[in-house]
Amino acid sequence: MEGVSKRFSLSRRQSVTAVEGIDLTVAQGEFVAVIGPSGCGKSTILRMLAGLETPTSGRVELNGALPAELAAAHRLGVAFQEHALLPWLSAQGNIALPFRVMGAKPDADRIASLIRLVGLEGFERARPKQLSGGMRQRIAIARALALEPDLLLLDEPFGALDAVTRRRMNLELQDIWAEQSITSILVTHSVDEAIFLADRIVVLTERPGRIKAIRDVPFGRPRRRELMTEAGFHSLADELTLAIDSGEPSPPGAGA
Amino acid sequence: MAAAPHRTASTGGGRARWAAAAGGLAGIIMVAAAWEVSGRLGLLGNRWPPLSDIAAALVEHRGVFFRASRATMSDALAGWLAGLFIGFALALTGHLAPILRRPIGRFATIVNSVPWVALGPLLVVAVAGAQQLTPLIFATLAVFFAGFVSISSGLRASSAAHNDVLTAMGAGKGARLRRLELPAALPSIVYAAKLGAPAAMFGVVFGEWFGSEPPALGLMIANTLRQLQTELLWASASLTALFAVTAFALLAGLERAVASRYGS
Repeated sequence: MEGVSKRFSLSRRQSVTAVEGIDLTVAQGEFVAVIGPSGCGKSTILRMLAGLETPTSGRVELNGALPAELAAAHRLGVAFQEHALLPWLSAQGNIALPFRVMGAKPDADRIASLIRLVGLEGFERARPKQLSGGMRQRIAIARALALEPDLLLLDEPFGALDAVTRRRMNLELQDIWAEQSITSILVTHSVDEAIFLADRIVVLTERPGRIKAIRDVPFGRPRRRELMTEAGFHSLADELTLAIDSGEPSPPGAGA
Repeated sequence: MAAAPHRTASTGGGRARWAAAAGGLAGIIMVAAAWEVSGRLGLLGNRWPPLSDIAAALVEHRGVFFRASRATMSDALAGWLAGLFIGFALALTGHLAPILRRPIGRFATIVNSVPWVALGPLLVVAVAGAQQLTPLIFATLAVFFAGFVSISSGLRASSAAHNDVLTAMGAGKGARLRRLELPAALPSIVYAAKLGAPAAMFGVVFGEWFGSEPPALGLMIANTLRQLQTELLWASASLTALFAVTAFALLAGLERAVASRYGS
């Protein structure tokens, strides 16, 4: 991303700048987390990377192609906070969807291995409505991984889950990622989640979102649950929390 | 985990549905009883026969009623299918070619607002052989507009989140339609079919007033009214209503099944 800004017009005269002057390069196989106060434009960055928004100025390029081109080539995997599973399809059917959208015959072995990967054996034929929130998110992640994407985009994928399930999902995602090392960008408001999962953490300022700091995460992989109790983990978490918090005082009405 | 509360909810819903059905049945029996008594006593005048006389007329003329019902129902079914198909085709065209959406909407509205009382005689006079087709044409007219409106909105019913996911998956227009928009529109299609069933009956019966061969239910209603054959008039009208209500109820059941699977 080079000098990327995005402005949304609210009405004919009013507009709001969501993000401004974002320069960010993500290496092949790297896991980058984007954190920041709520309303700082984290999701906007992800939506631009997914080709769902176009930047007002600046350039977004993925392996030399535009995001929409990568999407059209079926090389993107996305999972959002809303799981957005199709309610009329089974777990299996939802994971097979990317194959069908591509016009290919779903790869039964691949789907079976994804079901195993996210621990949903026995629930292949269940529909989303019959499953818990955590299970639905696991299906959404399996769906995002189905075509072995070049880039995995995760927008608060566990945001709607309770704390315990969320932590468990983080551990699972970390295991999955340790196996496959797909280039990934995660947007989250949880500092712990970002540290546990990412190689590098980008901290955004309040709106308009600008890059305030970029921190490398020094912990090796695979990461274990115990990491979250280590002193190094906590000091990094404190440092990042402070970095998010110590912004210039927010202008009135800049919440949400 | 989340399955348990759903299961309880559905058994609760099942019990409530049985209770509602029992209540409905009790209501029907009460109305029938009141009808029979008021007819016997002539409380509502001599044009209001007791229910048993109507039933007797149905049984006595069952051959005539059978042929009439068959003629009416086959036209109603054909008109219902044609109307739904036209409504669906118009909605889909407008959906895939947004530039045509407004003209198609205008066209459908204009066709829908032509007064039938004027159109019927015109059809009979202007088009050779149209008399046979009039019931079918009115059934189609009665169904297509509600179908068009309902299916048009159904095709736009898929959520923004689902559309985003499909965009990011690289779905083209065809894949989006097939994998997301059509399944998401299915409840509206069934809804249109449900609304269309009694409408098709009404259209057919209205069309048959202009004549039908063999005499179908609509013509029987018109003729028995003119000849003051009260029991036969009531019998024809009741049969028509019974068919319309039954078709509606069956499709309402289908609608519930589809909604529970395809609704979010």
